[in-house]
Amino acid sequence: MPPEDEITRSLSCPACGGTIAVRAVGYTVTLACEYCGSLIDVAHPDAKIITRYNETQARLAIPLGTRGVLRGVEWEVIGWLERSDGWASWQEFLLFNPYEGYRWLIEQNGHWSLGTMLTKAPSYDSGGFVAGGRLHEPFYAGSTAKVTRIAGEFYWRVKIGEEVRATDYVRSGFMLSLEANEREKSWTLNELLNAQEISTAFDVPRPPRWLPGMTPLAHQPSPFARRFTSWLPLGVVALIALLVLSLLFGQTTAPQTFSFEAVPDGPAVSQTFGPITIPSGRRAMTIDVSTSDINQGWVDIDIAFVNRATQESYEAYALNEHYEGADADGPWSEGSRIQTLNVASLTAGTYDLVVDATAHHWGNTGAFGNWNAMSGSMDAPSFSAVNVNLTVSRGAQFASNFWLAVLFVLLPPLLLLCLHIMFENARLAQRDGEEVGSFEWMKGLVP
Amino acid sequence: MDERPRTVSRGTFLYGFWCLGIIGLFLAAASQGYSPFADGGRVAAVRAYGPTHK
Repeated sequence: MPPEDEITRSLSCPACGGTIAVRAVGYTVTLACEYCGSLIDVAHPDAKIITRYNETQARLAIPLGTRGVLRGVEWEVIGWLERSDGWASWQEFLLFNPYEGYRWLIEQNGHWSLGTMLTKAPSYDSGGFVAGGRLHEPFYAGSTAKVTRIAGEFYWRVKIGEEVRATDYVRSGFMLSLEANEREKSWTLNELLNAQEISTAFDVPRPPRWLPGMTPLAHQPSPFARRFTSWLPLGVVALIALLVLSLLFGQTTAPQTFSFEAVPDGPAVSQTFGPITIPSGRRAMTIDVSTSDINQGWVDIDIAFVNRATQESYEAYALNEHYEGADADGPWSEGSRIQTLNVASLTAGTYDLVVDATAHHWGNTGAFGNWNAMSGSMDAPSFSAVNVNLTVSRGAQFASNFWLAVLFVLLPPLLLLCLHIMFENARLAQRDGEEVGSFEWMKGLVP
Repeated sequence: MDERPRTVSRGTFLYGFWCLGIIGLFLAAASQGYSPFADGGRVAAVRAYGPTHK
């Protein structure tokens, strides 16, 4: 720990004369003038210039000397450098606290991570490294990071163009970085900071929201995974509620049965049944139409509920049919002898059920009529009458309503899932070494 | 990322309201016996008869 009176001191830049504060006295080796960018050897009694730079200093997101409280510790920003690996560039702010030492605040694409240098190398396990008790999987397999700009003070002799070989391992929200050069290896654990933390500590703009087309950070957790997992229980509860309501409201009551006969290829039959009463409100009606003895033919059935008071009519149509035969593949049959019709929202009142039915026979069955001596021709073949049974009940189960509601309940989580897959694919596409697996996005849903 | 206690986010609230709205609409439709896909009033434009078996 430095003596109290030596925590800060200032010196004049030998290049431009600007007053520069040395914030980590006793630790700082190299100081970059924040006005002209010249590198100064602080260890030298006369503050010798190491390298002179005329490059205009960048406007820093966090000015040097800024103090901020992060995770309960007050940090001061004492140095800044920019690095690039030829593909992406990022900024690293060196934080200092006389009691806690150094930390790195790393900014890339508007996102901030807090880097802590590890004093002990993490252990190797299952192709990755374990730090903080959690496995970090390989992501970037060795890129060369080069220092491109500097300002402030540092604990080593940093210079423009300095290169390290960086290998990164990630887990959601964390990046474990190994930086190596010919002299040393160092491990840093970078933890992604949330928007609230970083903007409260250092008054920087909040990190941008991810949009399709943007490249996420390697260790950036999917913003959609958390929402998806918290929405899913709500969706399941809603689906259960829909199922229960569907069963409760889908019941039918007060069934009334009517029947009549229709002869295939005979005259149309028109029948009126009733009364059918709807006591109050609006009700759906269910009509089960059964023609159990139709064979090789069909029955057209037009049904209308006609309000006796208003003559308002609610119509529906059923086609019952049945065909069968045999071919080289064996016997076949098609058509349905039973139809269920649901008529919606009949207002309260007394109704007549008006039914028009026509039965028909299909094709040549080998049946021939009798010879009519009077007309001198064959009579049409006669078929036995088809029984048409109608069961009319109050209430109806509309499966379409249920499935429509299910679709709308699932729509937002499905949209989130699509965005999550897009995010994970964009994130994993940066990974070195192996192709993105088809279902790797599923890993992102597990916290 | 720190492990802070989870609170219900605005998005989750909105999705909860969305689900309630859907259930409410479903309930209203069920109590009125309404469905956009009901048979009533629907007339078959083309009535095709006979078997389709080849």
